[in-house]
Amino acid sequence: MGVVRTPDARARRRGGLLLWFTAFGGAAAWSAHALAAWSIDELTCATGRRDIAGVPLGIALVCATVAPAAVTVVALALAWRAWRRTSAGARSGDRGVERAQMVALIGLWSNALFLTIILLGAAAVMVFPPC
Amino acid sequence: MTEALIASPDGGATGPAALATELPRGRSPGWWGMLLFVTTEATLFAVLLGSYFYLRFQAAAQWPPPRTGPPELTLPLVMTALLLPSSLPVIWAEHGIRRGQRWRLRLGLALTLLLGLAFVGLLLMEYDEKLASLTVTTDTYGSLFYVVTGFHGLHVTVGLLMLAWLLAASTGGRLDARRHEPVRLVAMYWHFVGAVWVAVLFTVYLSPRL
Repeated sequence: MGVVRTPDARARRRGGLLLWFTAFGGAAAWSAHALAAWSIDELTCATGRRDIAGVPLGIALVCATVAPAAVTVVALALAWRAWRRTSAGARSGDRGVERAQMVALIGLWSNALFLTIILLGAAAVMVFPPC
Repeated sequence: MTEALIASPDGGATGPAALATELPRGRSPGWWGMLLFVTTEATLFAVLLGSYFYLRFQAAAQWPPPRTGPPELTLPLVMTALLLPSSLPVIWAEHGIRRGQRWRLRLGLALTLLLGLAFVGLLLMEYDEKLASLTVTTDTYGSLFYVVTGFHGLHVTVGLLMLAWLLAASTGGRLDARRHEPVRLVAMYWHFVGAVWVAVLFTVYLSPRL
């Protein structure tokens, strides 16, 4: 077994922020997606145009879907990693690690849910005309 | 033993010990409760303002409808000048009670209470003027106008009740340098109410003129 080191203050701070991201990354990405994709679509269609500064509306909507989906995938992967890595510590009875494991588990489910919602929205963009 | 178990072999940010870091540190359950409450209320306002823009873009080209015309700006701007600076006395009061200065807490809370009451008074004045030509059942615009501003007014009123309760508690000597958490929580709520007003001002009063 290698040398066990406790993390320094910087790593602890990054770890704390990372756990916040695993819990809310998907929700924030979905909110941004819903707001961006909907407003781009509504505002462009209301003006009678089918492009934004030369970019076809469909492409813009795909971008407003793929970027948040990618963020959610990253949050999901980090939640999985955090859940796996806190599992051993949680068995030791440490309250802090138990809490981190619970947050990671919530992140796993919520990110999976938000990823599904974003992808279903993308399916609608691919099937129906944007306006 | 526990420390050895939770320590990350690489000491990195994804190690169990780093992930278990409490961030922000040392917040009370009440603080987290208020944060969650404010978050849910913010969601409610986001949905309301989203509905406003959705219905606006679904409606006819002219918004607000021609018979209503764009909302007057004088009163809302005065209300803004009252509500936004009203957060400052709360901050001042909170800093005061942390040092055990009850007079600062009372004075700060009383000032905020007065500014908040003036805000609600002006909102009621605006309703009194508007109701002659526009009611909640006149059209979609009327419904949106009264629901959005009414919900915000309701939140300001709840904030005023919280402030009045704090003022009563401070005069009763129940708040001091060691016991001042309620001041912090009410301050959080009051700042939130002010921030939401900025969004309401832009959506309801300024955006129809853009």
